[in-house]
Amino acid sequence: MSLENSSHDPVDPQSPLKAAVEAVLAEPFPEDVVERVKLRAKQLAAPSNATVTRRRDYNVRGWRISRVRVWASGIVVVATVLLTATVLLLDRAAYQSFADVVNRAKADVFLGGDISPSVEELLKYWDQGCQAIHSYDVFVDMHQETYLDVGNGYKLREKPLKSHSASHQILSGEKRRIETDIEVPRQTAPSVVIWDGKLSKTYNSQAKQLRLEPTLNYMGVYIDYEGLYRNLTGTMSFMDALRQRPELIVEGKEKSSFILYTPPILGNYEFSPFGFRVWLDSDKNFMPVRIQRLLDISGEEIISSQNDTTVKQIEPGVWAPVESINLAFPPVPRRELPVVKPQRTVETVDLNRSRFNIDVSDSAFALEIPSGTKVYDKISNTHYVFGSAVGEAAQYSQLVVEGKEDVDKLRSFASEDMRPDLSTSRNPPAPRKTNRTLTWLVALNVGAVLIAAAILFVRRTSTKNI
Amino acid sequence: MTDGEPLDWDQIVELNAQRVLRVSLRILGSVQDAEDVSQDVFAEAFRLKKTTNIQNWEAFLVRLATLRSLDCLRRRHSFVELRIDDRISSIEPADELAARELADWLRTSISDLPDQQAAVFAMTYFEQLSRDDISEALSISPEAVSTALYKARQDLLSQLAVFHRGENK
Repeated sequence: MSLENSSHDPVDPQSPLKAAVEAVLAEPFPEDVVERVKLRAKQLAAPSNATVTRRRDYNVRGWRISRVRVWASGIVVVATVLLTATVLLLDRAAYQSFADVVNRAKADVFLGGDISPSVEELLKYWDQGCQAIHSYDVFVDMHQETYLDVGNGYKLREKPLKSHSASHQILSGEKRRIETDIEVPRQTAPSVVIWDGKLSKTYNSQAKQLRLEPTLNYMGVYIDYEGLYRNLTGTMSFMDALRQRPELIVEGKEKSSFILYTPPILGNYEFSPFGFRVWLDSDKNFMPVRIQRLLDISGEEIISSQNDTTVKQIEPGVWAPVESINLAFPPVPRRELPVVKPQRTVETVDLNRSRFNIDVSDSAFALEIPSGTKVYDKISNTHYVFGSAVGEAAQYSQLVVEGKEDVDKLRSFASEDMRPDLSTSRNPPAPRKTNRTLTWLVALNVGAVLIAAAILFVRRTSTKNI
Repeated sequence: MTDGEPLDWDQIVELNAQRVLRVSLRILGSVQDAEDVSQDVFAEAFRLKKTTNIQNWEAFLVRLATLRSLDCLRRRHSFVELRIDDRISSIEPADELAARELADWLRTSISDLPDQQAAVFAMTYFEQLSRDDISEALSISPEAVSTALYKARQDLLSQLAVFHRGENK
């Protein structure tokens, strides 16, 4: 096809349009502009570092108005989304879903386009990383120095208290045995805690006391090795405790670590009133490399303690903590920032003597107690001396005759209804039901977003076609 | 021109810059806007050149210039009046002023036409292309060209009558 000299259907001389068309055709043609157009068009094919002639700022007003429309549409969409978010904030269950969506987008930014895990996915990966360690037999050395005078309103001491202890910890599935204050070579462990998943037996060899409890309680005795990566206290997984929280978000990413965050909270929540910030290292099986405990003091969120953990690959695909530094700060805000003279605890795993993912025999969880041991039974709320119980306690005492087998019988003797209902007390709070108004508001806002998007789309397609 | 070896970019520009600018200028009536649109047209064509095998650059560029100019005309018509300094002369004799008004009216009216009718009208009357050429440029049948042109004329004539009535009042 040639477009040159191919006139057809010329303007009818009688047509009233003739004058209008001729007026257009009669307008002068600026030859000099042609050269500019050529120059700029040719520059398109020039190397990228070539200087491109800047186009004059013609049609500025039109451009601005067009941009204003686009911006206005964008603002409408953003405002609608924010409104939706605000509405959703009022609803706990819906908020969690919304937070997941926001966090996924947020994680995308941090990852620069990689696949981004949601909160639940992160918790799952973390759980899987923990489950890669199904058993261990570890020796943990612990050094602690503290400037905190716990018994005196957490006032700062002039000189720190220093302590050192070592522990031998065994875990196999749910069962665990912890011997504290061991020395090498050791004679007898001063304290032993055994947990079989249902009953806790804490034996103090110096005081000759045995405590039986339905829950694992080793507060103040030692720092559980598993607590470095899975359980902060007790046997409930940290992941399950975080799942209870009404607000749990992926706050961002630092290097290869995703940061989970839940604010301080009051109420029937595990670890209340603490909030947490957890760094999960995606390069290390999503094991936690930093855990912060957060407190709300007069509306100000402060770090109560921080745990920095070094995680090492102990076998292919299995990462385990080998060192942990815990800094605990006073639970009351002080004028000086950052807070000085905290409590510092360093735990180090003796890898030469420690083993992971091994077969552990049941005998490792047996407990032998000597005669004359005072037994404090928190299950039946009785106490007696082993071998000399009288009255009601005698029936229990009789069961504790010669050592480990009898302690286990005692556990069997304790009826189920004598134990606290763990399943009830540990259940997460029931999420609020989404009400109908909220549903309509959400639907309305989603509809508004779609309409705004459609208007933008139509606007673009109507003015830009080829 | 189009059947030989593939043209390089400089040749394409050299051969078509004037036509692209002219198409834009006749539709828009503003040198500056026409220059801007021409630049946009070449930029778009340059991008398409990398991914599309374009056989007839002349037809393609005329079509692109027509459509982009109409886009620009509609945007401008919807929210911006012609700038005073765009006019060829701010002080014109009466007959030239009348011609200018008539040309402006035509452009404004064209911007109100449907896409296809506006493009067909502009190509026919401003570029004086044949029905077949327009058919090929717009990828529509020759009959569709005729139909669109007829409708465009009717519509413009109706508007022109209103325009003249308004002038005579």
